[in-house]
Amino acid sequence: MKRVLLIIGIITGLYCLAPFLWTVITAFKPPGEVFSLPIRYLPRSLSLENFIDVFAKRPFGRYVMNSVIVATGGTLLALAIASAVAFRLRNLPAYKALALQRWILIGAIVPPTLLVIPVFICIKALGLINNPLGLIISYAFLNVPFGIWMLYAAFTRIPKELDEAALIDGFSRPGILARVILPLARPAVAVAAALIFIFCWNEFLIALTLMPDQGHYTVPVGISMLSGASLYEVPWGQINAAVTITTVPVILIVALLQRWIVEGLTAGAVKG
Amino acid sequence: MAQVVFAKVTKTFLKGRVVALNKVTLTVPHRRFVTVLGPSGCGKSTLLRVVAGLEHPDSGEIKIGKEEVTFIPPGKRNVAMVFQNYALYPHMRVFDNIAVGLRLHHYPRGEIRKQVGKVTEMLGIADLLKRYPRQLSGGQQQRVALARALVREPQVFLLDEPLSNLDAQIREQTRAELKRLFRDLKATVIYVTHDQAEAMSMSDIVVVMEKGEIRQIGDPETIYKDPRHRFVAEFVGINRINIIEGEIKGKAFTSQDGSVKIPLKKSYKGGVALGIRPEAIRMGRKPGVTLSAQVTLIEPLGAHKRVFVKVGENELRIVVEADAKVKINDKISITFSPKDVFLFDARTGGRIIP
Amino acid sequence: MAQIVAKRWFRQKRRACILALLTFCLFLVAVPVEAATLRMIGPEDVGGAWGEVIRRFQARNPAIRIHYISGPWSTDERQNMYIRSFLSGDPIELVYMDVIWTAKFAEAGWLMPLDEWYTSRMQEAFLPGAVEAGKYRGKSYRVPVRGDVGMLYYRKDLVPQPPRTWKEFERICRRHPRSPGQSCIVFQGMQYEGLVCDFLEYLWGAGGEVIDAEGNVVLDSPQAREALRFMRRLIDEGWAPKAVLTYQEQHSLSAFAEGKAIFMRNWPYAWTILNRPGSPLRGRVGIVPFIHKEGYESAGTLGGWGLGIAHGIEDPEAAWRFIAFATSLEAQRILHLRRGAVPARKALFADPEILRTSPHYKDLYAIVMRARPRPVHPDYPRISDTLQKHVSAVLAGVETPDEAVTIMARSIEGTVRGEQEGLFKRLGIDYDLRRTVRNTAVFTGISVPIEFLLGLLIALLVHARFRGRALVRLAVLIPWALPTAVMAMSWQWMFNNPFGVINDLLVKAGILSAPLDWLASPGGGMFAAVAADVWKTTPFVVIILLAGLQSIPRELAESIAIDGAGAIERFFNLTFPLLLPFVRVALIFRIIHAAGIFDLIWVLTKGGPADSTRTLGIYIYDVAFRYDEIGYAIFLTVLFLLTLIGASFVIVRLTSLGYERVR
Repeated sequence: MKRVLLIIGIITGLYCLAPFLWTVITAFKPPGEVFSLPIRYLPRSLSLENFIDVFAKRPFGRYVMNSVIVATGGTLLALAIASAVAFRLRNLPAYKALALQRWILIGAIVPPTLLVIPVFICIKALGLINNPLGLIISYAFLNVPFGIWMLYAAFTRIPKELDEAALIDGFSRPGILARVILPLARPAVAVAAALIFIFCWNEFLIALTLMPDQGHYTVPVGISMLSGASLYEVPWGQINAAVTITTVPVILIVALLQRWIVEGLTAGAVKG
Repeated sequence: MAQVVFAKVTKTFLKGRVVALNKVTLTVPHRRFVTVLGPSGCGKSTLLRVVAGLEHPDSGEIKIGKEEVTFIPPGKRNVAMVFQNYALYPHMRVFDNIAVGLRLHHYPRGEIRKQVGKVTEMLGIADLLKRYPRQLSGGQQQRVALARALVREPQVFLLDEPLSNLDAQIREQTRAELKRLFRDLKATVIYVTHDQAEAMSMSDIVVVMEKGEIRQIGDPETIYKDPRHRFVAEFVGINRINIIEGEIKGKAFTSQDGSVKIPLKKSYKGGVALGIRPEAIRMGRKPGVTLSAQVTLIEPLGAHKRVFVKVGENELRIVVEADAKVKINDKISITFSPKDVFLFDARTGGRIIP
Repeated sequence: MAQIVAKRWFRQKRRACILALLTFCLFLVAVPVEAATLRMIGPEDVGGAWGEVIRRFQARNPAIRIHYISGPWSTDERQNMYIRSFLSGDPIELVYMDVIWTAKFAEAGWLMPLDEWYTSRMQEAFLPGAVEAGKYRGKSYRVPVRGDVGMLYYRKDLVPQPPRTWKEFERICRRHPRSPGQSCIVFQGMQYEGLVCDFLEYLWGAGGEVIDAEGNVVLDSPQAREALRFMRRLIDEGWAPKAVLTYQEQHSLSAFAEGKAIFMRNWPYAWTILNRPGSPLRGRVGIVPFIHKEGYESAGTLGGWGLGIAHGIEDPEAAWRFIAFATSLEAQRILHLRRGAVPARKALFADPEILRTSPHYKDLYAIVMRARPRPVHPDYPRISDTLQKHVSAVLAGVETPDEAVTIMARSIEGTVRGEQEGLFKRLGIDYDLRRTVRNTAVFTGISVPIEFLLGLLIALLVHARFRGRALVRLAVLIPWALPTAVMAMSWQWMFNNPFGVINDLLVKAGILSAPLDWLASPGGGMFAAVAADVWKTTPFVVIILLAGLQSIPRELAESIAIDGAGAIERFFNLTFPLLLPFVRVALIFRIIHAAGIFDLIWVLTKGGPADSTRTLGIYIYDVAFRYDEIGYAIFLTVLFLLTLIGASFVIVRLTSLGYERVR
């Protein structure tokens, strides 16, 4: 029986990884071999030319920079706001906090598709179109409900007595959050940060809408715009290389934190 | 060190449905060890928290020293508190746990180190400075909590049932140590507990509370010998006091079932509860009030025995020597002096003084 | 100790840190402004024509810098880029516009009228059709840079006398001997803007029209039906290969160049390519105006590009200077010589230098002077979308010409009148919306159940203990963590024909007899989208269901086993009911997400082919950012949101088992 499960497990694993693996393989093929027929599943030779081309012939490095700035900023801002809110929720009696949480969750469920227009109007009113700050603020607000969800679960596990001892010691309220609660909730904060970072990194629609200027594209938008002089000249080699580069950080994060990610999400699911 | 004054302090919860403190007025004198004693829900913890600033009273005033501190935030009141569960910061080492209060008040680094050193020496935990709370035993954690309070040199020490999480053996030892420590420091201490033995053994002054009200304030001896309220009499004392309900007819007390009759000097209108401590009752026929009783239960407690007897419908406890000869169902006589009897008004609980 | 030191330092320097942070933010906000640079978006500058033009201009005008942004090949994409720049408040200064963009951009107020500089005397030097196409409501917004017109190419060596009418054309197709694999005609039949150009030539050639001079929609006419019927005949009779449905310009050109057709409908650029030295068809090709129905006149669709100035920019004078140069004889000559662009200035058609390399321009002149613009209306993109959709449906045999004409006319009427109607009325006449809702329902209805089934199986698998379980769990997490939009590119690559692995594997496995053009056929597009979505979001279902499985106490499972239940009974009586709360959570998330899906479809198919994958998310985006009707888009969004909330409540109701009502 175990053997059967193992085999099914392997098939499942392959199914999940196959598209990604194929992308990676294509990326490492020399540009000519990308378009060879019949299709070679194992490249005859490995080459980094696609990767070099992506950076040399396109402003891909710029895209990566933009994505890094925006994802990092969004994550930090989201966590700052979410931890403050979760901290406040913690001090409320449980029934009130849970009721509020339900409303907050509605915010988490709404897909970006429905929010893109209002977000666009707001950011434009602020004059932050084509400005990384506009995207950072948008991402922060979109991810705050999720952050609250995760951080609240972790915060409530910290006994309230610590707050009281801290108050008597002379901590200010924000001080308690920063110096007592957050350090104690570090695993949850890390997971929340990782997941929010991934969401921001992967986000497409809002980035497409708020950053029309080519120099400000984030990576997903940039990749989708990669095209050649005509339909036949779609630079698939470069595209696959770009995809590979984009997905590396995400895979690293997931690989390192997988257990906690699953735990965090399931804890949320139980409460949901 | 300062005195603490409560002036008509009232605190309610759940929009008035629960009254934790009801117009409490109390003065904790300068440099005295005061214990607030009472069962859970009597308001003692709330009293402490109000001094600490963790709760704000609905009405009334709190003064520490000369300052009115009713609404001043905890950090600015210069009080220190030791929590029942110690509330040590798990993510900081012992040194930092102790030092954090000083750091927040911007003491210079050298000064902090000196102070922490002094306090931890005093408490015998100087070698634990680099450890984390989870690496310490319960007793050690408690000392760290104490150190954290001591190092601040506050105006008032607040202790919230600090011994209840300790093992029974350590508890007694620590009790003595604490008493000695605070006496040496000549500190103003407000100590909260539900354990009457603790209260009696450690305090200069005991405040007995029930349902948000103070029943009696006094030194331990007075509380024991001269309870002014039925609740105080019932709560204080290693062996629980015997209470017989009844009334005073003519110049005698008659129990409800009629089995107990005691002549008195005065008369009183209304229901009366009679209290007599087990230690004040002798077995056998002696001068005083004698009653016939039947033994229902015997608890051998080592140095003495506690015996339950039935007089009419009333069940009483008496204390006898370890080698006294009693068996269950024995019919015995018990005697006590009317002078040892306390009479309480059945309705208010207040002591009736002839 | 170091910890303490560090904390202290930060605390003391807190003010400084905050200040630094604020400064950093301000720095971000203050977007570096480039001095006096004018930008324009164009296709990749093959041949360096634009480079040369810009170089010469900048040499003579050192204070002005021109930045040529090399955009995607698709003109729709570049239009979107311009629109987004306008909407963003940072418009791209030089608007390099296709003929069909003028009305829309002008109506939206994004363009500056140019009449101040672009006098009627100047206009006379340009092709009349091109000039007209640059006007809207009497004002000029665009100066033509290149002209273009659709026409009929024919093999001079095979057919000495080219046809002028449909009848003549039919006769040649029927009688003329053709080699095996050779068709009579190739044209652009894929669902895109080019198809509209082709269609209009038949329509006009039959005397039909889309919108008349007063602005009425007159598409619903016998002439329109005739035109469509004729187009359909081309395929039915085998005169055009079925493959035209996947042809854009370059595909038909390839086919024609390889001798696979006698006739071709295409733009002038093809001539240059066909007559390059070394080309097998060099000297064997002729051009004539496109065929028309007997009794009517030939018409070619006007194409071409021009430059306008964005409204509200800092230095319109500098912009005009560049435009004046870019549309001058000198610049247009460069564009022609280096890129084969058809000039928009009449004089150049008699220019000796040009005639040397392109002698056919003598003939071309006559054709190009009769080019007709496409329907001028600010909502042209929607009109074009409608025409594309249904004409391609007719060519594919999915709709009859009669059906198509009726629907198209109604749809376009809706579009044209739509602006004036109130929102609810608008909802009623919005035919595109119905199709969109249907697509969304199909997409959600197929992918969600599959995800749940697969998700449940995988969850059961991972829940059981076996070696390597952690690795499988990691593998399962990965599809969910990867960026959707980016992986959609990978899926495009995998579904590609001929380089895609999916075709390869399916053919090798014998499931397919021949590779499919997945992303070019309606069913295939939906299949690809569903496949990609299932792959990506099943992990999410797995995680949630796994949480549920792990929350079932072992004692329950053991006790029910002791009671004598087999594995299947155990599943239905114990596992599934206890899983319901989790199923509910996952279901709500998935349905909401699938219904609102955007990233995947936008990158994979953009809603095509034939609008088969256009879901609500894409539609709302189009309405807001491509059709520029934000009010209506918000209205749709609100309706959508309410529907989703309602659906959530229904789901919660349906999946509650009563034992949860503890409150």
